[in-house]
Amino acid sequence: MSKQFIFSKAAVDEIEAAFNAPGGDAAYLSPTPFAVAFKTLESPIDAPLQLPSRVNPKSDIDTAIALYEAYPNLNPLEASSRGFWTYLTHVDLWSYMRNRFPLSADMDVAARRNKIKDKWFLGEPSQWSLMRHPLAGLWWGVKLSVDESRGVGKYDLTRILFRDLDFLTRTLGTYQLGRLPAAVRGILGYMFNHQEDFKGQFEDKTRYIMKHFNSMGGALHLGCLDENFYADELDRTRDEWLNPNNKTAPEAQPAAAETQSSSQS
Amino acid sequence: MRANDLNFPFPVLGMPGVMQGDPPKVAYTSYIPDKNLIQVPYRWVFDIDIKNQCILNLIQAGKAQYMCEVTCSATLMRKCIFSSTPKIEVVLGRREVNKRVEFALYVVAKKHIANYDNDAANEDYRELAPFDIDVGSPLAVLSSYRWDADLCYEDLTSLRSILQVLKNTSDPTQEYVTLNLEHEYIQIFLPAQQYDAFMEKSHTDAFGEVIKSSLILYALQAALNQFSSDLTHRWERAVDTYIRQDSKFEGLSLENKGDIPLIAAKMLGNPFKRLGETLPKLTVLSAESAEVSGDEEEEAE
Repeated sequence: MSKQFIFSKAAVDEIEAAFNAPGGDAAYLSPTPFAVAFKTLESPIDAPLQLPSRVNPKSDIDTAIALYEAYPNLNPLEASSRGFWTYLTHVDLWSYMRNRFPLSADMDVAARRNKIKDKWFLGEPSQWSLMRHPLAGLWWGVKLSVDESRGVGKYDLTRILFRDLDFLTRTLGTYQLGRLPAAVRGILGYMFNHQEDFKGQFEDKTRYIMKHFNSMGGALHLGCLDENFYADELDRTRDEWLNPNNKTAPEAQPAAAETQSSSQS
Repeated sequence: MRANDLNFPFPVLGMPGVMQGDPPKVAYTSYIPDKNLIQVPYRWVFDIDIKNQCILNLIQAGKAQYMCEVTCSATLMRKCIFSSTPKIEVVLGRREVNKRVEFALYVVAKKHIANYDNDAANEDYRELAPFDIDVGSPLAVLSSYRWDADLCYEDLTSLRSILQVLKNTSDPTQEYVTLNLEHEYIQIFLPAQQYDAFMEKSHTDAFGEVIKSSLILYALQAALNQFSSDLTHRWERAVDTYIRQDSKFEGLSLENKGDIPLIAAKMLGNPFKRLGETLPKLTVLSAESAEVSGDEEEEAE
C-alpha cells in the first residue's frame, strides 16, 4: 500500500505565507490545487484509495465516516498534525473543500480570506482548533463517538453527535467532557435510546445538558464515573432539560474542573 | 456553597486554609527516553506523601483512592490513573501526546462516603459536618505538573527554539521590522534588503552582538510584553518552561511588566555587556574598513 503524503512544517508555513501575501487568496479560486508545488514528506500513514470519491460535500456525517474509515489507524500525534490536515485540504481533498465551502471572485475579499483561513488551515492543535477544523473535526468526532461494541450500529452514537453542528463543534465536542469515553458513550447512548425526547429544541436541550454536567464537574471528577452515571443523571434531570427554556441551567462553578477546551489548554 | 471563600462544600485537603497539619507532598521522577527510541514510552512516577489519618483510613478501607488525571488538549487525551498505594506510574506512548501535557493528582472518593467528618478540617467545616461524599469527589488536591512533549528534546536556552528571523516577502513595500506573535515561534520579519544584510553579518561574532542587543532584544521585549499566561503559542510555552526551570530567573515574573527588560536580557545572556566587550573589536573593524575604504579611493584616483 502506498503511503500518505503530508506537508513538512516549513511547507505549511510557506503556504500560509503565500496565502497572507497580497492577492494570495486568488489561488483558492482555481480548480487546480496550487499547493502540490510545496515540499511534501512521505508519512508512515497508509494512503487510502480513491479518497475524493468517498467524501460527500453535502453530508458531514457521511464524510466523517468515510474519512475515519480511510484513516482508521491514525495515532493521536498524526491526527493532530498540521502537515497532514493541510495536505488534505490543499491537495487530496481540494475539490471537496471547494464544493463544501464555495468561494467566488465576487465575494467580499475580507470574507473570502477569513473563510479560507478558517477552513483550509489548522492553527496550533488543540481540542478547540481540531474539532472546529472541517476535516480534522470530522475525523475526531467519529473517533470520540464510535462504539465498536455496537457491531453494525457502531456509528449510532456518531450520528447523534453529528445531528447538530453546535453539539459537535461548540459543546460536547469541544468540552473537556467530550474527551471522556464514558461520558460520550453515556450521554450519546442515552440520547440514542430516548430519541423522542430530542425531537425538538435539540440545541437548547443539549446546551442545557452540557451546562449541567459542566457544573457538576466543578465538584466531581467526572473521569471517575462510568457511563451509567451519565445516563442515570440524564434520567434524574429529565424534566429540567426537556424544558430547557423554563429553567436556568446551573452556572459553571469557579472551581470547575470541566471547562470548554480552549486553544490554550 | 462557599464558606470563607472555600470552593467545595466539604473539606478538601490541600486547599488553602481548609485542613490543619502537614500539607500533602508529591515528588516525581520522569523518564524521558532518548529521542530516537520511539518505541520507548515516556514515563513518570509520582510518590505521594499525605499525613491526614482520616483520608489514609478511607484509602485503606477502599473508599477512596489516589488519582492522576492526565490531559493533552492537542491529542484530545484525558485519562485517569488510579492507585490504592501512594505511588502512581503514568506511561504515555510517544505517539499519544503532542505539545502540552498536564498532570493533576488527587485523592478521590471511590465509593459513596456517608457521614464524612475529618477532624483536621477547620472550624467552618466542623460546624457543618458530617458530609455525604459522592463518588468522584476530591478529598485531597495534591499537586499539578505540566510538561511539553514538543519541547522536551529542545535546548530552550538557544534562541532558535524560540524565535525566527525571516525575510518579509508578503509585503515588499514594508520598510519597518514587523513581528508575528501568532506563530509557533516569535517571527521577526525584516524588509528584504535588511534581511540580506542581516544574513551576511549575523554569523560574525562582533556583528552578532550588535544584532542581539538591537533587533533581537527589541523583538523579544515586544513579544514578552504580549506574553499570555494562557500559553496559546509554542513560543509562550517555551519561554514559560525556560523561565520556570532556570534559576537565573528566580524572583522574576512575566506577569510583572517591570521585570520584562531584565528577563529578556537574561534570556539573551546580557547582550549589552557583551556588546560593550565587543565594541573595541568593532572600532578596530571600523578603522580597518576606513583604511581599506581609503586605499580603494586612492587606487581609484
